[in-house]
Amino acid sequence: MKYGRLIFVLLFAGLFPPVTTAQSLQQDDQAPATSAPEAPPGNSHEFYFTRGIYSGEFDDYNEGGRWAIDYPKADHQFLVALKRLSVVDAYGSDNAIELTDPGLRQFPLLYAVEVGSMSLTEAEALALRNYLLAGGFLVIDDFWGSWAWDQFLTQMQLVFPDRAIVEVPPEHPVFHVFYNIDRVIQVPNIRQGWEAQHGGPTHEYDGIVPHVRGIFDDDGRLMVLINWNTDLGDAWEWADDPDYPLKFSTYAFEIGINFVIYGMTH
Amino acid sequence: MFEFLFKYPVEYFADGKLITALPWWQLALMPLGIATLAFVVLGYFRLQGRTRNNDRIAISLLRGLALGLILFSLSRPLLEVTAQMQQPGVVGVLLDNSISMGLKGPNRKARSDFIRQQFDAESGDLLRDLQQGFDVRLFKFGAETKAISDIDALDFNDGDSDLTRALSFAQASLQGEPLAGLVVISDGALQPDEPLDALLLSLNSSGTPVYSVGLGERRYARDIAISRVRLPDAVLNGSRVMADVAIKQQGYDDQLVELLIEDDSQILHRQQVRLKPGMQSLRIPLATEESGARQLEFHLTIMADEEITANNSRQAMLTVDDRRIRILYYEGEPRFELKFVRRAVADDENLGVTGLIRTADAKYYRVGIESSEELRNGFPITRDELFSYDAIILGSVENSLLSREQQDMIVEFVGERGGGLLMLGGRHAFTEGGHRDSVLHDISPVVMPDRAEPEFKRPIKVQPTDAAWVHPALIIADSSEKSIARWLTLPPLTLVNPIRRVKPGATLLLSSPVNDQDDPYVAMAWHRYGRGKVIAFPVQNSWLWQMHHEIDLEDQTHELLWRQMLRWLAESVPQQLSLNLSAQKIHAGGVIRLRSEVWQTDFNAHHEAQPRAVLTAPDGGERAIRLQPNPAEPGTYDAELSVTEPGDYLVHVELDEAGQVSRSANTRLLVTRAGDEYFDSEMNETLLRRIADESSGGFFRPQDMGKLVDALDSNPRGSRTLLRLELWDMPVLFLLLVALLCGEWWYRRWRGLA
Repeated sequence: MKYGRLIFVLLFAGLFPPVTTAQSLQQDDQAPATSAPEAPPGNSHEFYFTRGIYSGEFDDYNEGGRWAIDYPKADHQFLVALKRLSVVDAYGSDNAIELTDPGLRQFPLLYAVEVGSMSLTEAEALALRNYLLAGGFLVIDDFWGSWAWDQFLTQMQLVFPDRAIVEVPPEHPVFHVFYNIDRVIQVPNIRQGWEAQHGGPTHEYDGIVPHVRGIFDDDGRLMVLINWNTDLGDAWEWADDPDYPLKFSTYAFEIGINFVIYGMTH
Repeated sequence: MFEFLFKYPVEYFADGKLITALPWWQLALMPLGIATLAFVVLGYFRLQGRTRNNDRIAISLLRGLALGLILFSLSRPLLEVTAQMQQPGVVGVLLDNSISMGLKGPNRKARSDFIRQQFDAESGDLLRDLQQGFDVRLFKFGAETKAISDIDALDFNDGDSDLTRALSFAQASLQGEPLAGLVVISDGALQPDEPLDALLLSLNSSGTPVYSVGLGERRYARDIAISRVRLPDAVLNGSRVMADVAIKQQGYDDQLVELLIEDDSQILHRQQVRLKPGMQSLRIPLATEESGARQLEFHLTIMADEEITANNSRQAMLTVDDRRIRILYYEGEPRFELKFVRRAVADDENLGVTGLIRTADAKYYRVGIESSEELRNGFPITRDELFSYDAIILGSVENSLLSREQQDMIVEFVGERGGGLLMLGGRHAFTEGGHRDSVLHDISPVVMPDRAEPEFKRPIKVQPTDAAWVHPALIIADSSEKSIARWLTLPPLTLVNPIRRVKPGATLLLSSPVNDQDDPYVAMAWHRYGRGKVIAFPVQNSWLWQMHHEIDLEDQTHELLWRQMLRWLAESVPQQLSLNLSAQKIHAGGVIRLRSEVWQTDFNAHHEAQPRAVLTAPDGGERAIRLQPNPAEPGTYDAELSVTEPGDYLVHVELDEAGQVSRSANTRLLVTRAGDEYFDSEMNETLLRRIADESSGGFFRPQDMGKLVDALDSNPRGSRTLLRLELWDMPVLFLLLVALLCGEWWYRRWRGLA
C-alpha cells in the first residue's frame, strides 16, 4: 500500500497544477451550481460518474443547490484517478442528473452529497426508490453530525419507510474489491484538512466518528452506501493542493474506486 | 441313347452352363497336368528306331486324348441348369399380430377378421389356394416374430410391429428351403426400427420376392390424433421447455379442440386449438417445476364420432435435472453487464455465475467463487479447471488477454467437452477486441468484420426473427405471440460491434434493421460447434432491459431472458457420467439399448470405469444391468435389455470412486402393451408397396387375393430350382477312354511297334 500512495503522489503531482490555499478556500466557498449540465453524448462508455440533483432545504442559499458541493472539480479529478488506476471505461467528464429525470436509470451508480439538506419531493422519493429497487447503487457523501443524519434519515424514510440503515462490516466486499480498506478514516474538508496538519480536529459539527453505513435490499444486496461524518468529495477536489494532507486524498481515491468497481460488479 | 451316354437329357446341355467344382488351389495344378501331357507327347518325338513321324503323331494323339479325358474328369466338371422342382416351393406367410389389427373400419370389421377368414385351417380360402401349389409356413409378428402352426396362436394383442425385423427373421428361418416368396399381411402401421435398405438388399441378393397385403384404411374419415410429441431428453429444473406437438386430423377441419398437458395429474398447460386440414404443428412452452424423471401426458378432446380414440392421448418422458450449472463469466473490464447478469440469476438455485473481472492491468477480481482456490491464477490454464464449468461467458475481453493455449482450450471446451459459450458485445469484443483472426472467430456463429470500428456506437431496437418465435431461450412471455409482442416493445440497447453476417448453418435470433438495402445488425445468433453451443450476443448493455425507465419494476424480462439463455446454453452439457436410452417408451417385450458415458475430470474418456446400472420395476423389484465397454467408442458403456411387463420403470446408473458412489444419473422408461400401435395407424401403403416393389414382388389389397396366388404361381423361383449336375462319371467319358487306349494298342500291333 505504501507504493500505492507513492503512485498517487507522483500521479497527481503531474496531473493537477498546484493551487494556493487561499484559492482553495475561495473556490470552496463559491456558490454551488444551480442547474444540471448537458447530458453526456450517448451511453457508449461503460461508466458515467453521475451526481444526483435533488431538492434541498437550502436551495435558495446563495441561489444554488447543495447537491453541487465540490461540483464539478471533484468529479473530474476522481475520474482522472479512476481512469489511470483501473481499466474502467469511464466517461471523462461530469454527469449530473435530476432524480426525476427518466434518464437517471441509465446510470446505475449515483453519487449524492450534502444530504443533510435534502428535501425530497414525492416524485423524487418515488424515482429514487424505483431506481434503487431496479438495481441502482447510491453512494452518499459529505454530511456531518447528528442534525444532518436526522434530516437524511427523514428523507430516506420517504424512500424506504421500513428499511433499516446498518453499519457496513469491515469484511464487506465493498472495502476489498480493488483496494483493501482495513480501517475507515475521517476525511476532512479542505479547511479542516489544513487545520488537521496543525493539530486541529478533522470533524465538522458533532460528527466526530466516521461511519460507512448501508441500506440492503431483501436479498442482502447493498443498495445505498452512506459515508457519514466524512467528505470524500473534498479530498478528490483538493488532491492537487499541496496543503491538503495526502493521506486523506489517497484514502478517498482508494475507497471511491472501490465504490465504483463494487457498484459495477455486485 | 444320348441320356445313356451323357447321364442327362440333351436339353440340360443346351440350356446349362459348364462349370467346375474344383477349388482354386486344385485348379492351379492344372498347368502341371498340361505340362505332363506335353512332356509325354514330346517323349514320343524323341523316340529313335523304327518309328516314323506319322507313327509318332498318331500315337501322341491317341495318348494325349486319353490323358486329356482323365484330366477333364479330374477337374470335377458340373453342369448348372435350372430345372423344374419335384417338390413344391415354400411360401412364408407373415401375419401381423399387433394390437392395431383390432381396429375396425367403416364396415365395422376388424383388420384381424381378414386373417381369421383367409387363414382358418378348415375354411380359409387363401390358405387353401396357397397350399395347393406351395408348402406354406406361417409366422406371426408383433413385438416378436415366431413360426406358428395355425392362426390359433394369434391374439392380436402384441406390441409394436416391426416389419424389417419380421421379414429378416422369416428369411433366416427359411434359408436353405426352396423359397418361392414371402407374403406379409399387415397394416404396416409403424415405421420399422431397423434400417429398411439393408433388408431390401438382402432380399434382392437372395432373389426372395415379398408380396404384401395391406389391411385397413389408407386414411380415416374422422379422426384426431397426436401424431408426435417431442421434448428435450433432459432440462434443468425451472427451465422453460418447448414441447413440439404434431396434430393430425381428418374430418374436423376448423373445429376447436382442447389440448391438455398434465404432469402427474397436475395441469401444466391447457389451450384451445383450431384444427387445420391434415397435419399441424404446435410449439408449446412448458414450465418445469419438479425435478426427477417426469412423465407428461398430452390429451386432445375425443369427438363423439371419431373412428380411433386411442390416439388422442400420448405420453412423453422428460428428465428434469436439479443440478447446479457452473458458469464462468470473464470480463476484461468492470461492466454493469456482469452485475446485472449475476443479479438476474441470483435467485436461480440451478445457476451459479462466477465472475472473473480484470480491474486494472494484471489485476483481477473474483466474484461468486465457491472456494478460495477457484480462479486464483486468473483464467484457467488447465483443462481440469476450465472443464469443471458448464459454460463460459466472454465479455469485453481483448484477444491478448487470452493466450493461444487458453483460446485453444476454449475451442476444445465447446467442441469436445460440449460446453456452452456466450460471446457478449463490448469495446474489446469481436473484431474490436482483435478476435477476427483468432480461433475464437472460428467457433463464433457470426462473421466478424475484417476491420475494427472502435468509434462505432449505435442505439438499436432489436427485432426477433422467425426462429426466435419458437426458441426456448427467447420465449419471454406466456406464449410465443405475447413474447414477440414483448420483444418489439423493449427499449433500445447500444451496439459497439457492427456485425451483419452469420455463418452458414448459424441461426439468427435477434437483429436490428438498418435500412431497406443493407443487412441488419446481428443482435443475437447461435450455432452448434462440435458437441457444444455458441451464442453471439453482440450488444453492450442488455442491463438496460432491467434499468430503463420504461421497464416496470415488476417486469421480469431481463431476468427471464438471462436465466433461460444460460440454462439453454448449458443444461444439455454432458456430465462426467451420463445415461441415455435408445427410446424412452417401448412396447412390452421390446428391446431397449442403454448407453452410459464416463469421462474423467479433464473430459478425456474413462477407459476403466465400472458403472453399475439398475432397472427398478413399478413394484420396486430391481434388476441389475450389465454394462459392457464399447471398444469402438472409448468411455462408452452399453447394454441391451428387454422388458416384458408394462409399467413405469426407473433406470439408474452410478459410478464408484474410492469406495463411494461419486456420480449417478437417472432416467425413466415407459413400457406399454400397445407401444405406439394406435398412432399413425392408417394402413402404411407406402412402406408395404416399397418392400414389395424393391424385392420384385407385389402389393395387393384384400380383394385381390386371386392375383396374389397367380403371382406366386408364375414366379419361376417358386417351382424351379437351380441344379448342379456332376459330369465326371458320364459313361461316354469311360467309353472314349477305353476306345483311345484300345486304338493305340491296335495301331502298335498293326505297325509292329513295341
